[in-house]
Amino acid sequence: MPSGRLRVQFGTARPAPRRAQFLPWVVVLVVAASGALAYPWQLESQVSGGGEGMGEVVGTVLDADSLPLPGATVLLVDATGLAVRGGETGATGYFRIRDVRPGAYLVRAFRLGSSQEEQAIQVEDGEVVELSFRLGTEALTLEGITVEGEMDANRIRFLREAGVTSFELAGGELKLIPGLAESDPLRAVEVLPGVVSVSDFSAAFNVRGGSADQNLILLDGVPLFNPFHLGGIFSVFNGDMVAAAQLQSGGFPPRYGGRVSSVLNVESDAGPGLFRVDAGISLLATRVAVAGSLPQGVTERLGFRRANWRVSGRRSYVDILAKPAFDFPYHLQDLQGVFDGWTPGGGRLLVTGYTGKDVLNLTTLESEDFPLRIFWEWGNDALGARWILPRARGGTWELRTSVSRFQTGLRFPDFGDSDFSSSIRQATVAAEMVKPLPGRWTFRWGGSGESYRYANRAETGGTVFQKGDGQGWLLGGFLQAEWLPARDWILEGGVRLDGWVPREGEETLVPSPRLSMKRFVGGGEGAVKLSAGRYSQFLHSLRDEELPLGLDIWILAGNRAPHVVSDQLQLGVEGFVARDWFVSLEGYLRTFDGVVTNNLANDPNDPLDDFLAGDGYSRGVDLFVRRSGEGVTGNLAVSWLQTERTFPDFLTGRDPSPSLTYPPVFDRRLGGDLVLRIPLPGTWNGGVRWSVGSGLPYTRALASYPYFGPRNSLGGRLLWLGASEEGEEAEEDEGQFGVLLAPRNSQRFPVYHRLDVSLRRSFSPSWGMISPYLDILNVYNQRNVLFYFYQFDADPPVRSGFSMFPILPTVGVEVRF
Amino acid sequence: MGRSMGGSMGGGGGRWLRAGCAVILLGLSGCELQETTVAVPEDVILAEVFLSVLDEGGRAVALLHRTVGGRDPVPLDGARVRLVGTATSGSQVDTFSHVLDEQPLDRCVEPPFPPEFGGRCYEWEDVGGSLLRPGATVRLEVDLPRGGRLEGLTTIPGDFQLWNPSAEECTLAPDTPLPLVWGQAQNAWAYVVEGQLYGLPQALESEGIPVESDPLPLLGLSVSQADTSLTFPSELGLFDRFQEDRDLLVRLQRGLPDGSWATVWLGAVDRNWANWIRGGNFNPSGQVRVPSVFGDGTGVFGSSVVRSLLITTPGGGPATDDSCGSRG
Repeated sequence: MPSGRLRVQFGTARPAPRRAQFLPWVVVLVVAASGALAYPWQLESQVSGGGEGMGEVVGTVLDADSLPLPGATVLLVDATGLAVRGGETGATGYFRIRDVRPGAYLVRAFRLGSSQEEQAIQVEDGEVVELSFRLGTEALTLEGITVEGEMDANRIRFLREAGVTSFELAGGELKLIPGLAESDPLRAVEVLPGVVSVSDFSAAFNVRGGSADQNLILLDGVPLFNPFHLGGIFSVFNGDMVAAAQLQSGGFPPRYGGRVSSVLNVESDAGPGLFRVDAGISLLATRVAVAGSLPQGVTERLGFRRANWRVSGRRSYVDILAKPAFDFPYHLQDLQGVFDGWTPGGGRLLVTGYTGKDVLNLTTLESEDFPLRIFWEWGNDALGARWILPRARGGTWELRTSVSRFQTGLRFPDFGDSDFSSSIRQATVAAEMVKPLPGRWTFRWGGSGESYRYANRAETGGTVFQKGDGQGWLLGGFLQAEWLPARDWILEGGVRLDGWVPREGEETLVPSPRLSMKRFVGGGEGAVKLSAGRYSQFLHSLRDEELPLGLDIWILAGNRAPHVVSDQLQLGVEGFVARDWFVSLEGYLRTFDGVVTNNLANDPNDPLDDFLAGDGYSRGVDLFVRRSGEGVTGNLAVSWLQTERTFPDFLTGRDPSPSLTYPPVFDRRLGGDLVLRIPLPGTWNGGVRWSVGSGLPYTRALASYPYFGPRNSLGGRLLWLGASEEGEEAEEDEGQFGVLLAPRNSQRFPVYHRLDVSLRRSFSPSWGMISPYLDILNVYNQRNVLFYFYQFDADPPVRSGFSMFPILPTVGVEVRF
Repeated sequence: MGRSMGGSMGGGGGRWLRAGCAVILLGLSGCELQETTVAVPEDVILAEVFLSVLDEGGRAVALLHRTVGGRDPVPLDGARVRLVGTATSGSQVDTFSHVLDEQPLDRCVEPPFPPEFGGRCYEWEDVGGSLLRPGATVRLEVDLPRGGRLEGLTTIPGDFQLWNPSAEECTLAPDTPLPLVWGQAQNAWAYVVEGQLYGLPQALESEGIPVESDPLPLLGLSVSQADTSLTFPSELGLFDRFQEDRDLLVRLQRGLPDGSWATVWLGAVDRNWANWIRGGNFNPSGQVRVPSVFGDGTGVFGSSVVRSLLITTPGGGPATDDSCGSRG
């Protein structure tokens, strides 16, 4: 039950290490930087009249049905043909371009899948020019528009966003990043700066020194707790359903809460409303996505003017193909749908649903093949809706609701005494309002209520090895203001309040101030940006990240585990060094207080010591270079990272445990990713990815010893565990060995590097399009180390191990009609 | 809420999940790295010392050994193992200091031994249990012949009674699960239940279930001081479910077949014992253990209080007059 006490937390979750207390200094730094950076602005203001003489261009972009068109790009092109200002339509099709110098412009509006329209305008001093565009539907096969759209979307983000570090990969880009069997949005984000992937076997990722459970992964705004198949090898996202994947890796404004490290939002594509089928087969699975629109009569009866939808299904098929010969024990399946409806008044309803399951069925195998019959299944279910209502002058109301759950269960049909299960469920209701004010202010405020519930249990043989359940409410509210004091400035700030009410534990209120600023330099082609803020998180995953495969087992903050508080500071420069070249360089510093790990030496008589609380920090620098436009495009990411965690070291056996500071397994000090998209002659397209990274840390075995177990049945004598039958002479490798370890993660694997290529060709027969593809992972068969095994009982002692992916060619084909 | 043994006792619990992951993983990778010679490992002394308090008295077993293949191994000959304890019984406080006698290795280790095993065995039989008593606190001191010392401390769990069956020897109807129920032992972290099942090869021959071991050793576990029940024999053998014949373990879910019998040891174990057998973090090179012996080496100094019983079926083992009762 709630304790009834309320704790307002301005500090950290526990007594904080010195490095965790830099936020006050950050505020001082930000204020000082504001003053320093403001000085030249004041001079410019005097010259330019402080923006008073600037004009403004506002308006709406509609589609052929006169419905608002979100995500359309609007550019102001001056007399020299240069795009000098730009904007992007919001969810209601509204755009607003401020600080337009007086003069003549060509205003160009376009969007992928729609036609391009242009209007000539003259902007006078202080004038607000209002426009309306109507774009027709256009075929999607125009590569030029895709490229142009991507380029300008990046420029729009550069011009509009203050402090957030954001990268977007469009659906087309995702398909040209070589993947394991098929394109995968989660694996694709590994190519972005600041992102570390620990193993080829896992699509899980770490961002800027945060642990994997600190990434909020959303499908159309609906959280997914364990968005992986096969223990992490593939994500649950079907590439045919994905419009874009956007990773925000830092500097989140106050409207974001829930996780401290990153937000990855995968957006579904409901399609243009035309009946369309996308299907594909890969070595992993078969999949089909069908898109269309509701019949006009039904659409109108439902109160919509237009209603598009897309549904998809995916299933692995090896078990079905192999059935006549043998029982293949695994399959996965996904079912996903999205509905996008527009009301005559411009309101928009988005509904997203997903259900997926993995099944590992070892119950049909012969006992000689596998001694224990196991049935293991896990999966996510999610359903969410967003209702966006337009207000005057570009404001919006947005209401969101969603439910999401993950559950897994491992059963042994022969032994009814076993229950290995885990589940977590989240229900969310949220409302948000955006209100642009005349002049230079835009306000955004909102609130949310989230209910969480989890239950974990590991029981067998009549005893409970681990169990826990809990419930909590997260009540959040935020106020965010964007201020454009001049043409060259964006200031964004506000505060978020998160109140956590666990069923068992202390209620907590965490105020999180956040501030971002951006100053454009070099004629608007470059910018310096700074952001600082506090972030909090009230749930943890207990997955051992040192295991390359695994499922997230979630727990909530409360009396058994603290919540995470992370203070973050980042400073960077970014800009367009040429028309098609975008470069950003950003440094960051983060603290993590209240992170947890399993206490494998916990007292079974103490219900509150199952987890150990710790803290950590990360610092690093990310370089990102992107080339868009014609010809070969791609991006280069280079990241330097240093991160450490400090926990009580239960392995010492001491009581109380001393603290141990070590680099976690995702501490990749230097990493690089080069991705190229290469148009080839004819309808061929190529993709190349080369990844390189300094070695990740591991814990080396220093020595081994025979592993005995005490046996009261043997008069208290010891038994060499794993040895052959009693009385027989022992032979080498018959018994187990225990190991003594070097300091945790004090050694590093060799440098990781891998080259992947992708080759794709599209044919366009009369009925549609067919695209066979070939992906080859690890072209030169580099043996990147997954594990080392030390065998000290060999003479001489040897080290062997397992590598990650060998050279791995996969083929597939996609069709569309 | 969380009553747990975060790791796993000798391979149970989460280790099964890890094993499943490993199977998938190895199937996908299948690329073994070339063997590379590494430096000779460090030479580290291990002391595995266990105190057991039974009805007939206390027993201390100390095994000294070292890591395999170490350079310049420290000799163990001449090491001295001493126990210093304090036991309180009502108003009486007994203190003792006892040096353990060196014994042949098989007094400490059940054969087979590891290859070229050079351990040393020390033992003390405290007949009558006047000093090694439930609740006593005992300190371990191991003095190495070339200098150096290892130390540890244990508090022997409190005494406890077996409630069901109430007799130490009883007869159980065939194919009948038997609930074992006992009282709480103070400071116990777990109860380790060991069964030695006799006569199974003959008893199950007619059912076509081969049994290679006679007796068949099976292990069960109850985690925490308050978990004081376990069903015999169905809830034993949980650590053997990956190794033993599936048909045999499934058959034992019904109970003992007629013609078989079993001896069962129920041990309330302390923190050190529990930590040592359940292991720590995952490491691909071998099991990681949480020690309770410190100083110039590592190891465990654990203690347990043990109750034993004999369970027979009508057609097997020595006849007894008492009935074990049955479930429900």
